[in-house]
Formats: sequence, C-alpha cells, structure tokens
Amino acid sequence: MYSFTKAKKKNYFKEDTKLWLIFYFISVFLYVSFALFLLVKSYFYTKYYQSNNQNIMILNTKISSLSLQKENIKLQKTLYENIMVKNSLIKDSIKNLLDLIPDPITLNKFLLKKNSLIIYGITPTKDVYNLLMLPPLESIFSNTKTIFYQMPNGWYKFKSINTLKGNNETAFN
Amino acid sequence: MFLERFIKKAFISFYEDDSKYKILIEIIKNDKLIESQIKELNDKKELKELIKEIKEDYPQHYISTFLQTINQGVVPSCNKQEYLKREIEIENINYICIKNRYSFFVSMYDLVKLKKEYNFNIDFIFSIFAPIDIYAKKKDNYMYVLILNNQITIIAYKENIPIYADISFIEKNKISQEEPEDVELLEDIDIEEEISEDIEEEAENMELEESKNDLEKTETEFQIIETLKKSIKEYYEHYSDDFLEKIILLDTIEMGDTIKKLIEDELLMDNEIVKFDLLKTLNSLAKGEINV
Repeated sequence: MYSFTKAKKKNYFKEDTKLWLIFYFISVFLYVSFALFLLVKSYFYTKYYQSNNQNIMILNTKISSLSLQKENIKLQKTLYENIMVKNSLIKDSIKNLLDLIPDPITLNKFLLKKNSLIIYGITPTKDVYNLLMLPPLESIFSNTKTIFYQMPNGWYKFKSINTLKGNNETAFN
Repeated sequence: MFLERFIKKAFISFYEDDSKYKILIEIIKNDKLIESQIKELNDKKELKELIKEIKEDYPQHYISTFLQTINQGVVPSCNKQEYLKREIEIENINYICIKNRYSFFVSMYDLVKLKKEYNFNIDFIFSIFAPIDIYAKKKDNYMYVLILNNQITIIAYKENIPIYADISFIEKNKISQEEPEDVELLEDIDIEEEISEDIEEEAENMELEESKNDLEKTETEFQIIETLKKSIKEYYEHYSDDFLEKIILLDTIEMGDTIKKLIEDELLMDNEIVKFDLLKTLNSLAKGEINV
C-alpha cells in the first residue's frame, strides 16, 4: 500500500442507470407477480375444473339413476292408469250388473272375469229368472248357461255361466 | 462482488510536467484492459473537464497522481524515533510504512494543498518515490533516477532498503525571450522583399528552434550530471560506505544515449537508461491499492 489517501467508495452505476434499473426491477417484479397470480389462478381454476368434472360425473350418475326411476315411475303411472281404467270399467260393469239384477232375485256371489261372468244367487222361481234376468244376460254374452237347484223352501239357487268369445281370463272378486 | 466482473473501471493517472498535464486513462473490465489512451493537456481546465467526463461515464473510476513537492522523502525505518532523529516533526507529515521496513513521508501541508488544487477527488496520492520503488527489482547498491522534464528524483538502495532520496528541479533558460522584434512602418514595407524575408526568417526560426531544443537537451543533461555528482557525493559522505553498483535512469522524456556516455565519462559509473512509463506505473499502484 503506497498511497497516502484512501479511495472513496464508488457507485457501481451511473445515476440514470440506477433509475433505469429501479424501473426495470419494478417491471420485472410486476411481471413475476402477475405470472405468479396467473399460476395460482390457473391452479385454483384446474382444481375447480376437476371438482366440477367430478360433480358432473356424480350428477350424470344421478341423472341416469333418476332416469331409471323416472322410467319406473312412468311404468308405475301407466300401470296405475291401466288399473284405474280397469277399475273404472269393472266398477261400471259391476254397476251395470247390479242394475241387471231384478228385485226378487238375490245374489250370493259373482265371479267377473275378462270374458265371462258367473253369478250365484237365489230366485223365487225359474220364470222370474228367465223373464227378468236372462234376457239382459243373453243380450250381453254370446253364451249363457244356467243351472238351477231347488231349495227346501221352494226357491231356487242358481248358477249362471255367461261367456264371451275368447278365453283370456282375469278374475275379480 | 459478482457485479464487478461486468462493470468497467477507469484508472486515471496524471501529473504535471513542464506546465503541461500528462494523463493516462485505462479502462478495465473483468481484470482485462479494454481501452487505453494517453493525452497531453495544455492547462488545468482541460484536465478538469476531461476528468469530469470520465467520472460521468465511469462511476467506478480511480484517479491517481503523485506529489511533486520537495517536502517528501524516505526513511529507512517505520519507527517514529527514526523520524525524530532526523528532526522530522511527525505531526506535520503523513507517512506510510512499506513492508514494515521503510517508509515514505510527505508534508501534510503539501498533501492538503494538492487535494485542494483540483476540484475532483483524487483517490490515490503517492509519493514520487513510490513508482520507482515498485519498479526497482535490484535493491542493493543501486541508484534509480527518475527524469521528468522539470524534475529529477533520485533514490538509492542498500540491502533492499532505500537509504537515500533526493528531489531536484531542472531550471531552463528562457531562450525564446531573447528575441528582439523590429518594428517597421507600414509604408516602408516592400511586398516582394517582405515575402523573401519571411521565407528566410522561417528557415532561421526552424534552425533556431532545433538549436534551442539541442541546447535545452544539453542543459538538462548537464543538470542531471551535476545533480548526480552532488547526490553521489552526499551518498558516499553521509549514507553508505559501500560502492554503488549501477545507476538506472528511468527516462520519461526520451533522453537519448548521450547521457549514458556522459555518466560513464564524468562519473565513471555503470548505468542503464530504461524507458519508463510513469503513468502506467501509477495506475498499477492504484490497482494494487484496490486489489485488482
């Protein structure tokens, strides 16, 4: 060391370079921050997208299950409607049948099937039956057959078997 | 620091010689010299402006120069007692110890004066003996003489320690002032005659200039010889009883070989003239100061 004086500490940059560098670093910082922001945003978006995808899959499964349920319900509804229609028909048939029964004749039971009607009952005489009840039955059914059985009091139990053409049967009590 | 590899450093060295300023600017990047320019400036104003420009361009700049005053010297010890023995007042000087063996000192007044002389901050101010000391390889019974246009600096070593140092100034006769000027009246001037006279005068001036330069050179050589005679006498009388082996002339003004012959004839001593780049040596010293 030969110098009588020591050098002052020197700046690394010129004043305008310093300013320029400050702006440069600020802009780099902003770029990096924005990039990080986008990265975080994209990460959360991916997460959100994956979760939504899962939800969509779950919902799709639910939709297919609901579709099945819907189909079932539709079937049930159709069935219900069919039953309702049938019941209504049966109700009408029973009403019509009961309307057919004249006052002197008492019904014990009847079996109403799709193509047949079997009636069990009591009539005071065969004529009452043949005059009051048989004509409407014959007008409805293609084939009518009646079996009488005389009771001790002189009245008759009868069984009337009435059939339509065809053999498919559905029984209702 | 990591950044230093990419930043340019400017090393500026200058000194005043014969009313002119010699300046060397070296631009260094990552320890490699990338630009170097040497200039000679006519006045201090030019120097200040040039340095101002460099300072603006290179924030990492190191300016160095050396003290040219007579109030400086060497002491072959770092001990304060040695200064007291030589009747040098410690409080009035600034000294630096070299290798714990010897020291260079300078008058505090001259140091402050030099700092105030320029409006820019000088980073490194060296003793005039420092460039010689850093250059000198053989330091046993060797005398080194630094020759500037207006100054002779002598330092003599014994057993690697400078034991003698001296500064003297070269005085030049002002030959140019001796020329009287004839004043002529305008109506007396004959143009043709005047032109031929001018040509003759020009030729005479050139001859006069050459002879003036020769005369100046001879004067300088004479003064160097006289100074050396005085110094060698003083050296043998007061500083050493051993013989000086060689005189090394550190030439900054392109002296030529005449001086070598003169020393051999007049002083009967072996000598060598070395072309010395003082400014470059100053920059090397500055680089050493900041460990580049």
